[in-house]
Amino acid sequence: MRAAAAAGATGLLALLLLARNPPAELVRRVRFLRRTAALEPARRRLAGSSAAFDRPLFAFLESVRRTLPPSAAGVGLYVPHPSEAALYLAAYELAPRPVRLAPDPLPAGWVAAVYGPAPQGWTVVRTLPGGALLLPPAAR
Amino acid sequence: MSTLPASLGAVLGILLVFGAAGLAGARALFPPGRKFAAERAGWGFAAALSAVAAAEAACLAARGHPSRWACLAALLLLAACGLLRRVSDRPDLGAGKEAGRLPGRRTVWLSVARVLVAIGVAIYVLRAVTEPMWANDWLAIWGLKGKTIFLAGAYPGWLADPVIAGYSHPEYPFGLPLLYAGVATILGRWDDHAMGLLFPAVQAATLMVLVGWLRRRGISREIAWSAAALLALFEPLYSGFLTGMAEVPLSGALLLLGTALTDALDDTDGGALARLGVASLLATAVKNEGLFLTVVCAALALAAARPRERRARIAAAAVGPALAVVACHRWAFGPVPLRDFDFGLLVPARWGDLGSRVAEAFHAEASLAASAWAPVLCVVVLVVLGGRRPFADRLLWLAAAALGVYLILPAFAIRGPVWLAGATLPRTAAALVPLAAAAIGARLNGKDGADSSRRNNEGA
Repeated sequence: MRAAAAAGATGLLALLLLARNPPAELVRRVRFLRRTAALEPARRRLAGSSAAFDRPLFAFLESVRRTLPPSAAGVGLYVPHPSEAALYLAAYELAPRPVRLAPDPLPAGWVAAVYGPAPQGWTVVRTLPGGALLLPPAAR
Repeated sequence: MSTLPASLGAVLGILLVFGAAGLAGARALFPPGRKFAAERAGWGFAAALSAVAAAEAACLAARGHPSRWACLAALLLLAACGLLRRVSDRPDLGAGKEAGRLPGRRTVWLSVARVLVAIGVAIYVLRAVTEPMWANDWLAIWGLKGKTIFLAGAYPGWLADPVIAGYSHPEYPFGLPLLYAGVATILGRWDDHAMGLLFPAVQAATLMVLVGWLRRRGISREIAWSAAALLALFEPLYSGFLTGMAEVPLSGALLLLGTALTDALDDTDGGALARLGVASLLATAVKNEGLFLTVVCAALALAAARPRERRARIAAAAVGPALAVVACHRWAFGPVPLRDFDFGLLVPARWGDLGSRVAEAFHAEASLAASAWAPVLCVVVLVVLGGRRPFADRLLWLAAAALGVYLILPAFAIRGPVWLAGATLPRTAAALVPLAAAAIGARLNGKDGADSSRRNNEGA
């Protein structure tokens, strides 16, 4: 009797756990894999979940990563709507350089990555899709 | 540019090397013989991961640039340990006859369970490699540290600066970031997509240890594989979201810790104490919860070990390596406070506030449990149906102690009890499931498998 009850509970639990794997989700994953497997790593991340909250921001960060001057000691990130998600994605993407959200003042040796319109009076180091790399007036 | 299939192939090759080195090295932890084979494979893989992380740490400590040769030397050293150290068996313990059949045709049940294990692992492989690891905690904590260490070839001071990187929790152990950096060092590049394959490999190692330990402890094939099937299908743990984060490795380390403790208490074989030490190191190096559980293990040892002379040895094996990990962290990074919690609430003047926060936390947790009432009820039924088995009950006590702390901790959360309960309780509790699966499986064998289990219990 006990064994039968245990078998019943085990079977029911297995069914409940299996039900957490809807075939539609698994098929979607396989299709996504097929579609992205041949892409370069940055494009795979662009297509994935971590960039979903703002894909143009990821494209901007990837441009920052590729064009950052080797002398830059860190990056100040300026975005129109600052968020933890933006900071985490930027910090990860731009590692091993440190990233801070809108530091005031910008630490010496750091550059500003401004997503959106550039502030008046800042020096443009490089124009990028969606923003620019800049130096604030005092850092010139 | 590297395409995903090529990267996955390279990471798979690295994992196979880990497995081979670990399998050889695990001979230092287990006696020879087939009954230990599955556990040897699972433990060996875990030991290989820790060897690579240790090599990375040693290079950083020596101010040298980590190299793949250092990682490979660590793996060779691990394999050599297996040749140099012999472990004795205690054939009178832990080798019970198979018993405790479930009703129905045995082969059908067993085959279904094995197929479900394969399905569970296959689904997790798909989830883990669908896209580059993406969870917030991967980006902000584990992946950030690993990528920074790998690309800088050092541990930059800003990672410990609370103003710049406080969100990345400098107080967290560094085992996992060091492992990621080590794998990237061997691979020769940072590949946060293919490296996701590490996680199904950890899942497979956990399942091997689960089945191997249950079988060695005299539990029937049906029950051992059923426990493995339920664990393999446990999506709240083996999810795309948790891939890259600490819970999957921690869950495996806690299973190693619990099974090693109960083996040491029963003196099942000459390798149990060494395994307990290794598991203590692994669990503490992955996450702070591991440190807490090593302390609980030491307390259990002091309370339950027979004869009494063995108490201190087992407690030291449980907590000694954990304290060494903590000391290394403190030496490298200095004292770092726990950032998320306000333990000032323990001051008597704030007990009223604490009480209301505890109530708030419990309310949020009850809502979480209610949303998963059906599986929770099934687990409660399985626990109730099981018989008392000291060697299994200890694992249940360990899991219960951890769960108790996890339920209380949100009351101390700086961002509020509801936030912490919702954000972390489901995943920290999920990391206890392998431990609970081992305990419940072993207890279910208790009634029908009394003959085979008696000898195990006599050792307790």
